Amino acid sequence: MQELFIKDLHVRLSGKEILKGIHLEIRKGEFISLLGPSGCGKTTLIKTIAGLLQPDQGEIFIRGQNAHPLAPEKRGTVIVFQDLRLFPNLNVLENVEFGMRMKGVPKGLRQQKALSLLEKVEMIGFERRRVNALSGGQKQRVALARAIAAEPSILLLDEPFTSLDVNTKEKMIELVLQLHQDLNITTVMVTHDQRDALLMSARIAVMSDGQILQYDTSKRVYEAPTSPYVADYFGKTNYLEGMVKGSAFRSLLGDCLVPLPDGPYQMMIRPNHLRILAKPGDFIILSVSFLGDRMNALVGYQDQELWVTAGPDVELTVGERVNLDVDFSKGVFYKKEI
Amino acid sequence: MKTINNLVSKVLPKTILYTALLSVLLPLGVLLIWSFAGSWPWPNLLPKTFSFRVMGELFGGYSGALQVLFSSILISLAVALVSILISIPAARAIALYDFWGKDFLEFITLLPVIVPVTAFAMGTQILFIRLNLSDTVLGVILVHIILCLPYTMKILTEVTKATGTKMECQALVLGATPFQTFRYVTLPLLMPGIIAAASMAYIISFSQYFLTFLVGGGNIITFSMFMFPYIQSGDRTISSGYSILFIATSLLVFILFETLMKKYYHVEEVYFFN
Repeated sequence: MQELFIKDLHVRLSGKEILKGIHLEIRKGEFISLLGPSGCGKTTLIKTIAGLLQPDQGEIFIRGQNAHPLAPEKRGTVIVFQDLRLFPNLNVLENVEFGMRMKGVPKGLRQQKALSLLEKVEMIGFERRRVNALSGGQKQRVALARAIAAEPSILLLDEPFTSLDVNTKEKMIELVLQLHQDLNITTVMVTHDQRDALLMSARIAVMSDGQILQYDTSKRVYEAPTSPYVADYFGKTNYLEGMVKGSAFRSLLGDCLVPLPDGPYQMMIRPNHLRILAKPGDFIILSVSFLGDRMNALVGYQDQELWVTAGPDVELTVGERVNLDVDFSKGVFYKKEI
Repeated sequence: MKTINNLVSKVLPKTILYTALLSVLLPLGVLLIWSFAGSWPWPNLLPKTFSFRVMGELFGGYSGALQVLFSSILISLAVALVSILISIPAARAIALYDFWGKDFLEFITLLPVIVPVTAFAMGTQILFIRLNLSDTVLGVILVHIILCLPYTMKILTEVTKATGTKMECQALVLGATPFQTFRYVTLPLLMPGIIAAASMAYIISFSQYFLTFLVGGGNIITFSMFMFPYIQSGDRTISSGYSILFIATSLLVFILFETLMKKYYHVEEVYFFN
């Protein structure tokens, strides 16, 4: 059954339309990401799901039940906000207990559960600490434990890793994935980082300007983006102009067979589907940047410039003439409007 | 250069601090000495004789000082309590909601401090006479509340603005009802402001002389009214004694406010969120 179902959701904030017709469905226990630049409405979307904002149009169903008449505290949708919002007047344990305390869970029971969650997030020994005395990563762990302790039907994570340094972030990602695996909580993560989204979620909804452009598995969103905007969001990529005639795409770099109607097309091909061949050819290496585990090279051919990813061991020098192998089978075609 | 830096960073702040401290403590010390002075003719640096007649006057029972003190404390506590109860929701409306005429309303709440007390008192007195509130404890409490509201409103509006609704949103999504959110999240976060505002209201009410006299019509005697004749008549020993008692009880009430609230709400510092 669908845990969350959103139909044609419109939200206005102070006269401005922020969400312009959102459709979304999430299965039980699924981990999805809302991916998009800041200001695209992804935080507004989770706040609306949680009932903190009222939609102007459209419906939200949680476990098949229309959420509209439900107050935020009755929805079972818990947000972990970007700024964490731990209660400063409560200690770590009391923070984690908060949701259960509000629901009237007896003290012994809720303490036991809070402690077991603190153990899960590796915060045992900190239960009597003041939250203001914790580091950023520790606060994040407490906020996560507090949210899970409230037994959410849907866990909403708002940019959970932006304020953390790289190493802490890696650990937190592991922890969140581990918790998701153990507890199987339906999770929606808001992020602007395409790598976090690809790494963590089963499906990704790519958002722009209050709309979902594509909602599909991580693999599909990366490999078969439905629009150049989505393709661009996952890093630098190449576009090759060409014409399709009689099911054959003809371009500067070569031809290939595609089952498409005739007309002008653009072929998107990712840098990792191009390969530099060491034997001399018509391509000139314009720049090379070394990134540790790989290299990004910019290769020129006539007036076309192409990004190519190469292994770290390949010897590339700027100005060198090389040849290029294009894997046309990985190309994604977009019809050009005339 | 180093000595100048040292002067600015260490010596100067300390000098200011101790000067301020001295200017508070020195008069207090003088008051204390005066309270127990028998005769203190000019130009002696210290009194010639000491006397304990002030203790009899204050605590002997015949002057009625203690009864007045307690009823006065009760009136001021009531004023502080009601002012806070009015100010919390009103400050919330002004700080967090947008409505027509908000700026004007915010300005209106400050009027009792802007309009001179005498002018404001006359109008209030006429109104209170018509409402049969003149010469009653209720009338005195009401007029004190009007006078306190600008201060409590200003303090609580600023604190409410600073805390915002972020924590409340978090409490709601964690499953707290709006009432629970207010009780367990909003109130503790506002507590530093509430303590400050309540102390302010208490001391304004407690030291109010003119308005109490006018609205109370002499029937309602508060401590500041009680001690006024002594200060005017020039019995420095007795008036010093009353002044000490005045300061001591106010201080005691403040400490009580703070320890009780902080103990109850586990608030140890001021928290603000943006």
